Amino acid sequence: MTVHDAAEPGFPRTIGREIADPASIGVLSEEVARRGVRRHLQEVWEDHPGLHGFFTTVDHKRLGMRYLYTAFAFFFLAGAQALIMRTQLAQPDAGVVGPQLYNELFTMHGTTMIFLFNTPVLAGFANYLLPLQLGTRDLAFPRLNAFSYWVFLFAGSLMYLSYFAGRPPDGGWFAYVPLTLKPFSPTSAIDFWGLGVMFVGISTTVGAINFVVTIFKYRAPGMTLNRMPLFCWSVLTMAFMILFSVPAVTVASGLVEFDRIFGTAFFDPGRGGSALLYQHLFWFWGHPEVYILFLPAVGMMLTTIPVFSRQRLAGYTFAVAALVAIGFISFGVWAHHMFATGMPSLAMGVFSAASQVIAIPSGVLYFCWIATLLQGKVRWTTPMLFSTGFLIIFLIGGLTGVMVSVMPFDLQVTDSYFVVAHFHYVLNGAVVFPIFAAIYYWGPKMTGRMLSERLGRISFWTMFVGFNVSFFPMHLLGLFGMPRRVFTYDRGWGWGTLNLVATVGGFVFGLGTLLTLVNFLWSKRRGTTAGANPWHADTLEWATTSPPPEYDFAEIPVVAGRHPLWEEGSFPVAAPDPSGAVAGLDVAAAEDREMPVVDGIESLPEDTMRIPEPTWVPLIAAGGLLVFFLGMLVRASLVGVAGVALAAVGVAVWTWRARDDER
Amino acid sequence: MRTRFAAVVLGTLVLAGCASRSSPNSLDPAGSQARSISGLWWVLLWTATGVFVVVLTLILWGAFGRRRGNPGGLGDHRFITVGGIAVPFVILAIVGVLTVTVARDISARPEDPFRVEVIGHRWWWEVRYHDTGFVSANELRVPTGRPVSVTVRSVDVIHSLWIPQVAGKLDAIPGQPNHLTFELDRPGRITGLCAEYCGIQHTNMAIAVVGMEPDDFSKWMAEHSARTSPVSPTSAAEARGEATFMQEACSGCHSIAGTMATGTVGPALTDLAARPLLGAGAIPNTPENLRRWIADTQGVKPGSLMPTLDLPPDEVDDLVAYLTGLR
Repeated sequence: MTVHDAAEPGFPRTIGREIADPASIGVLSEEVARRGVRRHLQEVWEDHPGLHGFFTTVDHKRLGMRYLYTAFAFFFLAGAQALIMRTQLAQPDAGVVGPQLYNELFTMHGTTMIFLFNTPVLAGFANYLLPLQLGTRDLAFPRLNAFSYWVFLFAGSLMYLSYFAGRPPDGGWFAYVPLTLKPFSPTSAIDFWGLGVMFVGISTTVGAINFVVTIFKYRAPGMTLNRMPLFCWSVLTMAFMILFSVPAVTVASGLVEFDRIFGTAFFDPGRGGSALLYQHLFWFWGHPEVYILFLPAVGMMLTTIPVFSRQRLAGYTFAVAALVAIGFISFGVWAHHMFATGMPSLAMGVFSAASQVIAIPSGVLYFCWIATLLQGKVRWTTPMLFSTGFLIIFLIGGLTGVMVSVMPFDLQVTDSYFVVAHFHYVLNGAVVFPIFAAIYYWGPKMTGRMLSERLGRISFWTMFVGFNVSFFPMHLLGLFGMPRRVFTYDRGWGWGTLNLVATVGGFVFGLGTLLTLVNFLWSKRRGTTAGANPWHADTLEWATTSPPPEYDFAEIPVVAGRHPLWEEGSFPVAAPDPSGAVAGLDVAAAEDREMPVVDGIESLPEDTMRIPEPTWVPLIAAGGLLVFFLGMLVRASLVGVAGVALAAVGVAVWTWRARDDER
Repeated sequence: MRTRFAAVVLGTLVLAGCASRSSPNSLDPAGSQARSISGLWWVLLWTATGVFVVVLTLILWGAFGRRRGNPGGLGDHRFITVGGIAVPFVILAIVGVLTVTVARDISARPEDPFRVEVIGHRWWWEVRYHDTGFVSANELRVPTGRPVSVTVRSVDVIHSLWIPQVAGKLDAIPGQPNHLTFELDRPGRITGLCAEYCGIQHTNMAIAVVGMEPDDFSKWMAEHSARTSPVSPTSAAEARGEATFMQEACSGCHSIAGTMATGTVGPALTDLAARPLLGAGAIPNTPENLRRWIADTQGVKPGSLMPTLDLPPDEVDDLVAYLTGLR
């Protein structure tokens, strides 16, 4: 094979050996093994045994899996909440749950799905996959990664603590003021929400920083931005969006807590505050957030659809431009959640138009997929079924999205079941279906074993039918006047049949997701062995064993195109550079826990980074923050101060140790 | 798949036609604004259906058809530019023009509208008729065929006034009065709801909107604006009920025009017996239900700001007798 870039100045002169079987670079080649370093590598990379290792690991794969398990625990919890609500709504004037419990259910369902499932589950996949797809050994900041996970776990636990200590939040997942201020919500229920949102925002933010730096500085040699896998592009866009939008929700929930704890009046109209200011702040994050959840799912679909069409993606550059364009435009549409607040009509016109424009990059993505499908030959595996399900469901969700961006129409359907249907088509259908595709697609890489195709197909069809039966009728309910967030409805309004259908569909959908859970747990132990590249895919995560070794790649691969594993001929890996100018690539570097640092654009190696040892400090720092937020919750300032002090000690030890980690 | 979709579209049409007449159905408009918007909806539905069918066909053709070298004979980039940019742009331009047209239509400020104020409370609507000073609750009477301008306010949290058959939603925001214009073109009763989650009883916050022929309306309005002296009790029970109402906690929160009861915390009860529902839509307004409501408010509408009063049964009976006479 030709490695064009190898001739370019600054690129490692020595490409080293070319390996016929790409899968063998994850483990040591026999030659290296003969030198007896295999044992040594394991000693260098292994976590501590048992619980010690559990609490101190900084391995992106272990943490990524932990993200996925935790997020899915929240997914099934929030799903159960949804089914209780659907049971209550199955018939008019039902008495399954009362209004208070119902309000708590929809508040926690939305909060959990957005903050504790969708966001972290995608972070989990990004965590696991980025270093593998980029061809390196870990994320840029492994300890920050561990910190991010612990903060996520603690923040989620803090919110659910409300069920055991006090009352669960009941202000809706967007917690509009003044309803959530002290005079109208006097108990601590809202504090669990406000503090939890701020807390989990820390996790999301540091995670995003980690992804951005990893993508720019830790790609395999030769992987220019122009050759980067599209999933990485989608994560990069997502991460930038998080960095610019999450501060807004932190401020929004922070000011709510200021009003509640310290008696300020940011949002109290009676004392000169503004109720609408909160909505602007919240949706300035809230709308980009929709795309923060959606873009990585698109990235997954841009990965799976070409692989199972046996065809490179048509229009790579178009797809990248579409991802980035959606990222930018999504910051100019937030007020379309507020058309009914009585905004001036010019402002509404601008937000309405900007919202409609998002249809264009979405159209581009669709025609990239269609062009790929037309030129390819589809293999109907379970991931491909879920991907096709995504194409159909997102088509409906996208079209109703254009409808609700039409301001006059939105005045009728906003806050009705039409909007409930719309956002479940995009946030459940167009995000959860890709996530399930990803489980079937990358699961074998993570566990080393294939999931059952047979059960996978049954699960897909159950979910696809259940999903549409559940959510499609909700469009009609909204048009027929059913507002969202009502715990019951009048028998005479004729909503009973459609609600019953939606409830039946909801249970079928829930059953479908359980089938995949069973499939995953069963296959993890009993599935057939996957091998390095069971799908004949093109990206680097398939160039190492399944599951990958702790160090991901014994020797760092060299990339010469967008589809390294689809290139003709053997697979190049970087070899030691005798001049010492380019380090971090070979087995010797792996033995030193090192990985290469590259320049941001051309991906030429320029330095090395030492991956830190397992450590307690991320857990301690995150625990300090937990103590702080618990202190704020019970209004005990001393406890809060102690928490900050503990976190500060953690960070101090962390930075102190960082000096040892330098060479 | 296409058959399935056609069935779904047909189902939509059928269901839209036969949703119960009394439901607050936005596709069964009773006023010009809702009519413009429902017209817009049908255009959007057919446009979206067209796009759905074309794109779905392409997807299925790609997925099940044989391998093709070159999509549409255009090459990747032209294919994506035409299908993903040019065609959506044209469709969006048309949708944009429609948006602006209908938006202008529904935001027009008519001359000399009938003015009324609707104020959101947790969890009921206060209705103030400006011309006459008459105050009612959970029922808005308007003349048909004349534009109505509603000033929408809130005294506590954010609510949203939604009367689907005449207009879209407008939020009731504390500290920010908003203005909703609509016209009701046929007499009769339609339903309005609160569309912004506002706390435990958000669900039970309905408002009946009653269209009356202009003459009938003028008569009704004149009758109620003239009511400065109390309705004289016609039975002993009513007289005792009135006395109880004025002596017990009732009059501290509720007002009845022409009496000592001037409370503003709860709904005005001047024409309570003429309203079809109790508790802002919680239960139908019958004497038995009224008794239940007074005796067990928290059981009927949990979380309501009206306390359960623990009155002796005979006093409740008297109150019911009195209140059922207020028309």
